[in-house]
Amino acid sequence: MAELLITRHWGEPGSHTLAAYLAHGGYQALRKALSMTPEAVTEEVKKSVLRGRGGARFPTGLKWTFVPRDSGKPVYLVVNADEGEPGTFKDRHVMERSPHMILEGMAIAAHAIRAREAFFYIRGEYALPAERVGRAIEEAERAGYLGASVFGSPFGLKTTLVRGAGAYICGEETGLLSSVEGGKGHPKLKPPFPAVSGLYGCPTIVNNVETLACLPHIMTLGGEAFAALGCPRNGGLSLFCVSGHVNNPGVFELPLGTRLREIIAGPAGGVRGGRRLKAVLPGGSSTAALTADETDVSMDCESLAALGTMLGSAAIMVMDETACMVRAARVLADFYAHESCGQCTPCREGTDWIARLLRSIEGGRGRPEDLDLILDLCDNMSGKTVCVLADGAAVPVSSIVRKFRGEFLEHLEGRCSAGRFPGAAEAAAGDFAAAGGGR
Amino acid sequence: MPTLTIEGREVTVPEGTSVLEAARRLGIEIPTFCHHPALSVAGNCRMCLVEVEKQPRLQASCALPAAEGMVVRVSSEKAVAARRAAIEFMLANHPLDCPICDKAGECLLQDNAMEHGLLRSRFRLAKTRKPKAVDAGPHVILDAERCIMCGRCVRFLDEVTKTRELGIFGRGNREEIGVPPGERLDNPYSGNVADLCPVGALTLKEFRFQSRVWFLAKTDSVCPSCARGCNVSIETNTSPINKTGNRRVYRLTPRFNERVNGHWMCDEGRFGFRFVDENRVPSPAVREGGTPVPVSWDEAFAALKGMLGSADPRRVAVMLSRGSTLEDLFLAREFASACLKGARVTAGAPSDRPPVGDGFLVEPDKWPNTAGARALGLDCSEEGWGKAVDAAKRGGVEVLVIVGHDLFPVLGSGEAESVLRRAGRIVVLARNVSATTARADLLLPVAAFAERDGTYVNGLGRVQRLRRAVPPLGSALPEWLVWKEMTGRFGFPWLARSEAEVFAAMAREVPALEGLTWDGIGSEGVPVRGPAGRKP
Repeated sequence: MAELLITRHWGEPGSHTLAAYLAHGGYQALRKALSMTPEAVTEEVKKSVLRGRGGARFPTGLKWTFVPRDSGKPVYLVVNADEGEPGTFKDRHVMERSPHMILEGMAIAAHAIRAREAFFYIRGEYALPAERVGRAIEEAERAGYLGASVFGSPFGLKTTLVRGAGAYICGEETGLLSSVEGGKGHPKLKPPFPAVSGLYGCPTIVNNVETLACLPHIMTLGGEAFAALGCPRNGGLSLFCVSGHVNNPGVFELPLGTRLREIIAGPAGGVRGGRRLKAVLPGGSSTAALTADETDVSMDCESLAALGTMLGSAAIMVMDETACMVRAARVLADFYAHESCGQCTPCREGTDWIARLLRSIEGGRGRPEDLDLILDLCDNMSGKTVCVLADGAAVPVSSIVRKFRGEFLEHLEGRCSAGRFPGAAEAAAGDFAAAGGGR
Repeated sequence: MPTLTIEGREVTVPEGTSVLEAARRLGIEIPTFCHHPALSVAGNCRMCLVEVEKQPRLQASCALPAAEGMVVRVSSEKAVAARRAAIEFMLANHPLDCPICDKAGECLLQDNAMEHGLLRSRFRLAKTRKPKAVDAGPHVILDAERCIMCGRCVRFLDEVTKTRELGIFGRGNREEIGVPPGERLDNPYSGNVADLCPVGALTLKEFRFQSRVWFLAKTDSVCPSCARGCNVSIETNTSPINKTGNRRVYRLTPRFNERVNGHWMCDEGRFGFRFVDENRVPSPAVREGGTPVPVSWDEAFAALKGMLGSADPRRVAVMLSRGSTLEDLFLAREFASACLKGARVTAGAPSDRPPVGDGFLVEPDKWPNTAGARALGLDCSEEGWGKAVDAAKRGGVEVLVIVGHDLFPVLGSGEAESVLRRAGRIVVLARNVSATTARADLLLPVAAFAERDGTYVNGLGRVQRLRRAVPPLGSALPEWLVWKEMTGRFGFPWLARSEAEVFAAMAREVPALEGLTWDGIGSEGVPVRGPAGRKP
């Protein structure tokens, strides 16, 4: 592999410590950034064509420019470490192995947006990442890389670590802000966008862990060099999480624009047991499924959009011929029904309704008209809610129903060519789990 | 002042106006559940989605600020389909128990489902079960299954009362409104959540299973519970059928008045109307040989004439009430000054309720018409009241006329007892039977606020009209008619035939009411002239 940025030293023991980070030139990018004006830093990030790694892929530098100057209010930076998208497990590794890289990026971003206070929001289940980040913050503050005065300069950054309490919706940036404020994790109406009115009604930028970890490299390499590592309109390398039916699942740092089929066949070691590929969710659970025929695609925003799907969090979930797509759809639907915050009518009712229809189809109790009903409900949810959880819930289900309709028809007849038709006991157990097991 | 186009029509609205409100200005009603003009915007019901030119997604019109040049379509195919879908989702797990739901007939879900829904359900699964008939507080019952999670109640308790007794618990389809463990929805304004609830999730114990709302007639009136004079609707069912219990007034609900009570009213006022139908004085009565004997009004008037005509006016005391209307007090004043020269007249009786206000709607002055009594020049001082009480206790009162008061809770038993024992003859004008009416030598039944027209001047100096919702019970008369008749019997006939005509006379004679007209008061009231009231 040509060049690695974030993952370069992950093989080394103790890579998470300040000493190890400094040994590899850590915090020099921050020193460089502080010698530049905030505008110059933002300009460099714009040149890098860095797009948010949390999943929305919004250009990071552009997002920063939405912070109003002279609003008379403090500006906050919030680190989104609520990595909750099924299939996504990259931020966890960055936090466990290179926490200082995130903190350095966080300080660079804070300088760029003129924030003097940051909140580092980590999902509740992430115990080791929280421990490592917490310790890294202490180390960095003691060494003068964070805290009241960074490098003895007038720039200072107070950092508060916040632990989530186990809700997927708190990864949505305004749901996250509600949670930091001590409220229920309900997403907020936009506009106003957080950049204008976010945390406690103040201008707020929410950036993903990996996004921030890219910043020291952008400052070191220069924006244009970073951009050149990727492909047009998709700057840099990205962390791809490959899971599912492959021989070598894991996190791989690869140029944006690498072909999906090559990622599966190459670093991921190919489909396990030499079986045939059936389907791939290319960007996390909220993206439309691709069939095996559609996997010869460049992993960048535009190429995937042309196939009706998204790069998302670059979490590639691979399913081989043994996967039952009815069950796959049902598992996904159950997840969203469980994680819908409940605020908006279409999502609250729609996610649950769809999940229950899929459960009955999976168990052989469905009716032929249920398939079109599911598609219609997906349509009625999408784009009609405060946040995009409803869209994320609808897209994978509707794509699977459309592309693998034959498997649904089999289940309606009590068969499953993937050999996954559940017995009565299993179906009942599934219903039980969905009805209350995860509550 | 952006100008935008809604349904092909242009409208210019102040900066910050939502598209929903801008549409309302054009008479275009965009349906909604969660939106309420007095609460923050939640934007969660997704019923008010509209199509906006150049925006790919439908927009919640309640949360969308009107912008210059915006082109909005309410009835486009996409918007209509989204509303139909929202209704279908809302009804999916709704119990559809309208026949036993108190909200039926005034339910937004019913109305919107009829106008915008599918009218055919595709939901064939078992409905989600949630807590029902939860005793949430002294007045409110919660049915979480009927709830559509609009959150109006939660926002009201967060933003208006700031008491925060209700919360949203759980997530997704298991989400529900609830009271935190160990808490109660118990605050002086708790009843408002039932008005705010667009469905039957929050209902009032006092109204549950009492009457279908479509059998209720609404009459604009004013709450008599304190000096605020909250604007209310008196909701009555005078039919002998289609109701529970032998009542006529079934509830009071707040009527919007921006200058007085906004959308709200307090629980004390809301639930304090039972005296209208309960425990009433049935007819005039004269005590004969220690027992009250029912008599006709003619006999009662004759008896009163006899008592007052034979007494030394200086040994007559009249205890008026600031709970009476302007018309009552004006004619009482006229009667006293024309026929009882030198009598001791006081309107200074304290209330039998503690003089505590809350800085919001509840006023420390528990009388609805103190400002009116003052405007008429009546003595509202505690000293005047104290002197009348003392005179009676000393045996210096030959005829004691008590209007409305029960002296026992006001003075305490000992003091009331000595007043009533030492006074010569006791005349009581009263709505309801009390320990004081039991001591009357002459008892005259009078009409309750819901049974008559009239005016109060509230503590903000606003004259407001009561309207008759039901006829007086039994043979009760409004007080002003009693004074009018007596004035006539003393040889000074009054020609006024109605409260409106009394008001017209007052408007000529009382400086504070100068230039005001009965019709001009309208349904929201008008400020009186001069210093009768205090500034809001």
